[in-house]
This record gives sequence, structure tokens and C-alpha cells, in this order.
Amino acid sequence: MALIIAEDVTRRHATGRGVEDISLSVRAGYCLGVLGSNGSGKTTLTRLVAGLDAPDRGHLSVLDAPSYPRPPRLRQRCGVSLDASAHWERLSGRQNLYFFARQYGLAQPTLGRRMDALLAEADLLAQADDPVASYSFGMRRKLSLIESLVHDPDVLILDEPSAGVDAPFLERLTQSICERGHRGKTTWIADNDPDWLARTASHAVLLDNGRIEARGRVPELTASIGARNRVEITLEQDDWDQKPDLAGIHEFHCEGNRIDVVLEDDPQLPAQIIQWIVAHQGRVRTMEIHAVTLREALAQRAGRQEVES
Amino acid sequence: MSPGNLLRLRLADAFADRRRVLLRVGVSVLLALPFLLVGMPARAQAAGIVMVILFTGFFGTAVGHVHLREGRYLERLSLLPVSRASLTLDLVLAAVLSRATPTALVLGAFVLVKGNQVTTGALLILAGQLCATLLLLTLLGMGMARLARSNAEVHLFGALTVGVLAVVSGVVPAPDRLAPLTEALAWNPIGRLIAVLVGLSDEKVGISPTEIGFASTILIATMTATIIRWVQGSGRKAEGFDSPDTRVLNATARVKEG
Repeated sequence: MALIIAEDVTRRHATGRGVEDISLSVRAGYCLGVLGSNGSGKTTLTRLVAGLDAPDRGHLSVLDAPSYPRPPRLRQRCGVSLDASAHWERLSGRQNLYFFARQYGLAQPTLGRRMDALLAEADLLAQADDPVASYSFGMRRKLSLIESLVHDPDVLILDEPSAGVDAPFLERLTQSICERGHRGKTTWIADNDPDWLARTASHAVLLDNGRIEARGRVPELTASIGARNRVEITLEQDDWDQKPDLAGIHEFHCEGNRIDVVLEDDPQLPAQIIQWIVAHQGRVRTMEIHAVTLREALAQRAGRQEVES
Repeated sequence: MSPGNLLRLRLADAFADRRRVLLRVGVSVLLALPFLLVGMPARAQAAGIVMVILFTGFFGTAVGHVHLREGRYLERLSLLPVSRASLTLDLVLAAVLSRATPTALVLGAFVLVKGNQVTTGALLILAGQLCATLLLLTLLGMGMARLARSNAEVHLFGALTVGVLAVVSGVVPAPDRLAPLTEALAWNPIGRLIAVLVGLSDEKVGISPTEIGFASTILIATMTATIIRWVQGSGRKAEGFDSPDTRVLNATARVKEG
């Protein structure tokens, strides 16, 4: 059963940005990762799903009801953490968490146990009674995330959850989201970290300029790219146009003084490329090695779809 | 304090910082001090005190509400499974209660310094009109904050609104051509508040049954709403929704196991 269904959803801002003709569905137990560059429409779409804004056109339903306006009974089944974490700064983290937990109907003694467990999970137990004003950016983000999880919602909607939080908490969040999925609970994540989304989401969509460029199941997408690395090389000279004839290179793009190479996950290959460039009178200024991510897999799929169409 | 609803949360926030409380009370008292201590006609003194209440009551609420909107607190509150009416009621009650402390102090000082033969009835009317004035200013301040796009606009339009309120309520002398308007609006709480203050210093408070009834109704309604919402925000189980306790207990156990 799909808990989130979007059919030709469009919402435009006065600036012209927004989302256009978005159609998707997220079934119970799935975790959808929404990827896209800044301004691609991730937050606009997330706000629509959260029930903060109404679509200009199209139909969007969450939990079998129109997404906007959302009645209190359905709001109780959703947990939302937006990119800006508004907290009452003079009050402690525990007081802020208590307020949200109470609004979602939790009462003692469950509430106390649940709060302590989540504060411990976010590594905030020691600072729980300090005013939020004394918290760092990452601590506020973690507090905001556990506030959205406190009532174990059927639909969890997170906007940029990986921004500013530490790696151990992100791992625990991944476990928590996967475990939610096994219990049939749905999660929506708009984020910019493809590596984390690849570990967390079951499905992914790539947004570009307000439209869905590509979509797919995460295991299939990661299998499609295999174990590959992307190497970015910056040269001293900007007239380079030679391609190395080495085995294991899948893509090689050269533009000005910048070279982009997609290659097999062989630790020797980057060094061999540099040696080859130096041997052909190239002068290397910098080199960066990245694992090929979910974003590239989606971009690749988008490119293939374009060619097919 | 454990803030179980927005009323408790706002009050806990308003009184959490001692410096902020002292500033709020101190500014009202300092602004009102000249009208309490300097010799001038009773009407001028009462007008000065009411202007202090107008400015602190209106701007305090309006600026605070813009902060809630710009800090995206209102957006966050709108996602909670709580009706908009409950949220608005809590915001209004919290604003009235936090403004009532400094204004009650100022009015108390006025009664002590200028009051003549103060009766219980006169004090009841004074408290009722103060409560009604603060409710009116809170609602106007929140409305203004909704319309204005920034704090600068709130200050600009707020100054105009307070000026208009002062004129139509008879706090400051109105031009003759506005006399019909001021007479028609003389019943408004701000107009009545200044009339009660002038009466208290002149021993001429008109204690009519209508005025007693109005003051009692406003006070009882406000106190009842406050007590109900305060109790609802206590640690008791929330009503009206299916309890998520059992499934949350299971989730908590899983968190601990993890």
C-alpha cells in the first residue's frame, strides 16, 4: 500500500523555482531518498509532503488523505524534521523534547523512558538539562531529529538530516530507519549526501531543476555502477587533450586544465594515470579520488533514459 | 517546569531568563515612573500610564510574534497534531499573562500613589479592564505581525496603530471632527481603562452593574481558560488521540537493544 502518492504535482515559487509534474509513490516500509543539487526542488517537494504547502496543480496524498490541509489525527502519524531546527532556546533540550512528545500524545512513564533512550542515542544525555542556546549546530540538528522520531511515526519526513550531525549518530539513524522499514513504516529523506542515502534508503529519485531526472531501487542502482572510483585531476597547463590507454578506465573527460576519470576500484590505477600523464609532459597540480555514488548512478540512468527516448 | 502544551512552554520560556523578566518589568516601571511621581493633572497621569501599557502590550506581542514566524516556530507548531484554535488560545493567554505582571505592577503603583477611597468594586473593574485591554492589544499585535513582512514593518505600522488607538480611545485629545468616532468607541477597554484610572484618582468611579458584569466575565473567562489549559498541559495522559504509548514502548526497547 502506498502511503505517499504524488500525481503530476507542481508548485512554483515567485522566483520561478519549485517542482513540476512530479509523480511518485512511496509504499509502506520503503525509505525514499531524494537527491539533487541545491535549488533542485528537494525542500519544496519535502514541504509539500510534510503538509506545509499546497500544490499549485496535481494531487498529493499522504496516509490516504490530501496532503494539505492535514487534519490533526493524520499529523499525529507523521514526524517531520525540517532543515531549520526551531527550538525554544532558553529552555533545555529535555524540555523541548518533552513538549513535542506530549503534543504527540505520549504520557509518563513511557515518555520518560522514550526521551532518555532517544537522548542517549543522540549522545545528548549529559547536556539534556542545559539550555538549547548553549548547543552547537549539530546538537540542535540531532535534537530536532529525535523530536521527529519521539512518537515512532508511521511516516517520517526528514529534510537534510545529515547536515551538521556526527557520523556515529548518522549510523544509528540509518539503523533506526532500516528497522522502521522492517516494521512497515515509511521514511522520506531529502539529502545531499549520496553515500549516506545509499546505505539508508531503499529507493531513490534524482531531482534536477524541479523535475525527476531518474529513479530506482537503491540496490539496483549501486549494482549498476559496480565498484568504481572517480578521479578529478587538475593540471598546470590547460591544453591537455590526450587519453591514457590503460585498462580499467571507463570514462575520461578533459576540459581545460581539468580531467574527470571514472575507473575500476583498483588502488594502483590512480597512480598509474598520474605516471602516464607525467610521462606525457603533463604537470599535475591536484588529484582527488571519490567513490562513485548513488548520484552518479542516478545521473547515468537519467542519461541512458534520455538516449533511449 | 515540564511544558506539556504551548501555554506552559511559552510561560516557561518567558520566565526562564531572569534578566529578561527584570528588563520587561523594569522598562514598564521606568516608563511609567514620571507619570507616578511628577505632579500633573490626574487625566495626564492616567493617559501616560495607559500609553505605557499600549506600547509595551502591543509591541511586545507583535515583535514576539514576528520572531515566532521568522524563526519558523509557527511553521513547526502547525505540524503538531494540535488544533489551530488551541495553539492560538495558548499564544494569546501566554502573551496576556506575561504582559500582565509589569502592567499590574504599574497600575498597582498608580492606585497606591493616586488612589482615593479605593473600593473592591473599583479594583475589580480596573482588573477586568486591564485584562480586556491586554487581550485586545495581544490580538491586534498578533494580527499586525501576520500582516507585516518584517520587524521594521511591525514597528512602522505598530506606531501608527498605537497612535490611532490612543486617539479613538480618548487617551490623547482628538480633533473635534473625530468626536463622533471617539464617542462611539468610548466603550472600548482602553477608553474604559483610562476612565477608571481618572475616576480612581478623582473618587468618581462609576460602578455600574454592567461594568462590574463585564469585568467579572472577562476575568473569569480568562482565568478559567488559563486554568484549563494549564491543567491540560500537566503530565497527565493527553486526551483525544489514540495513545501511541504501546508502540513507542516497543520502539524504545528496540533503541535500547540497538
